[in-house]
Amino acid sequence: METVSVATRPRTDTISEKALIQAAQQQDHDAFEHLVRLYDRSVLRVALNILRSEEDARDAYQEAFLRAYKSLNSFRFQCSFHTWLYRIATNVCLDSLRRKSVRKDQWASGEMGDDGPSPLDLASDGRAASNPDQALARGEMAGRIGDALDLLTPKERTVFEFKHYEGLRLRVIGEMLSISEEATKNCLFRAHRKLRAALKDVPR
Amino acid sequence: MSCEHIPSQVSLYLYGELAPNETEALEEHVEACASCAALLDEERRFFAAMNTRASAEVSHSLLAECRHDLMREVYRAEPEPVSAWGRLIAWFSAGRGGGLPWQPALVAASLIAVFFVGRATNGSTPNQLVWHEKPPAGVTTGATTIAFQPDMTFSGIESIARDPQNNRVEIIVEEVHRRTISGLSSDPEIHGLLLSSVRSAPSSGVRLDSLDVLRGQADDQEVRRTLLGSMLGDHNPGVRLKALDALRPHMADPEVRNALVEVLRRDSNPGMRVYAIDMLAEQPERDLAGVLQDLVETENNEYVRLQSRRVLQDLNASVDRF
Repeated sequence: METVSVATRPRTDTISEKALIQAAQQQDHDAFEHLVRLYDRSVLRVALNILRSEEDARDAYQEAFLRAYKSLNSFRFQCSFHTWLYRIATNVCLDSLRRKSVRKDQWASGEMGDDGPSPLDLASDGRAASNPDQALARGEMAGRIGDALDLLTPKERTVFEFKHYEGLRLRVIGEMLSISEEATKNCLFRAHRKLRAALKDVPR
Repeated sequence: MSCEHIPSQVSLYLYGELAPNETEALEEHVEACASCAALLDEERRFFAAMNTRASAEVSHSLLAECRHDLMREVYRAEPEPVSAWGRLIAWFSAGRGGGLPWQPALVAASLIAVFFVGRATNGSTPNQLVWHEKPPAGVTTGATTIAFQPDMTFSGIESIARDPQNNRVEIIVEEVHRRTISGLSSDPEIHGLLLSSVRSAPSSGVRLDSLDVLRGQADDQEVRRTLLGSMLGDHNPGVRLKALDALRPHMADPEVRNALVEVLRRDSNPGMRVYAIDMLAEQPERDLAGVLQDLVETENNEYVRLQSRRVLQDLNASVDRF
């Protein structure tokens, strides 16, 4: 197996991704760090877009890369590393969205006891819908879009973010979410329909 | 393609997700159908409206913090010490005993043989191996039999001997003894150990933890020198970054500034170079412009060049040398 000591190499771009992955699989932390740096900006951006909370995005970033690190040896080069990593990050973001959703539902239905989050906690979760200052700063239109995005299910939201803002192919998005391309297409269609309905009175 | 298909296809068309024949069919239809052309326009306006919400910007500082926190956890997640069995086998696997490819298997087999012989001759429980501890030099009291403990730590195996008469195996091991030392970080023994740990602990996680304790003590000259050495010489970028950060309050020290310039010139990690630029820019000295102008010319990393240019502009200095 080809191994690389990244600490002694001149520049990252002279080393193939495969060699970096193999080195990282051999516990070369420097190689792993270089892999992180290849993709982490886009992972963090996606997390920020999907979760719309810096704190949640930081947690998702950390969890996604730690999961990737711990399961690196299970990566068998059967898909691109990018897809594999994004699949992990997407799952982490979806889990986070679902947890938030459950938390909000529990609060709304009064299931939270005294130990549950306070209304202030929920209001300060960083989402534009609940943070007027942010909505104001980003403009009325952006605030409306943020509100509309909140109406989507976690999966619709993720598909829409990946397609509209990241420009990923539907096939790749499907791979990340472990659903078929057709299902991804339907999910995107539903997202569009909901967004258009929510934004129908917005001047364009 | 008929009108009823257009609503489900129009967004895919704008995303470039239709097959070439579908694209062609849609375009042909829209050219000939005013209501579907209006639908396409409507969808285009919807796209434009959605684009008014820009994708989130990832700030450099947020990214740097995320990376720092992540790598800290990664280094903490270094493989836990394995059991005595694992250590023995790993020790042989590393090739210390001659490096034969089948050696680990042989060692494992030998140790298993000890296990069974130990049980048969000493009546030990199945979880126990019986060891004969090598007597200290000059002591002639003979070997002491000790029970095998799974958490024993060995620094190495000195020899293995088998008695063909009774099939017993004698293994002489070098044992490592653990000791806990506690006290204030200012206690001389603790302080010395922390400095030593930053300089030479094999685990990056331990070096990071030591730096965490020492970071507030950089007024002490020895601590500061150790931090400088770590920032310039540690092989781990996470450790170098932590040392650099610990030196931030001491930017007035010319030695610290000079070391940061060294980081700019020769650290292999672009993140370190960017941090060094930021720190130098916080309290700019006269020579900073020249250093950054050099960097703009020689730096391979686009982002580092960009940061250098930004600081030069803030300093009202020319980006290029004349």
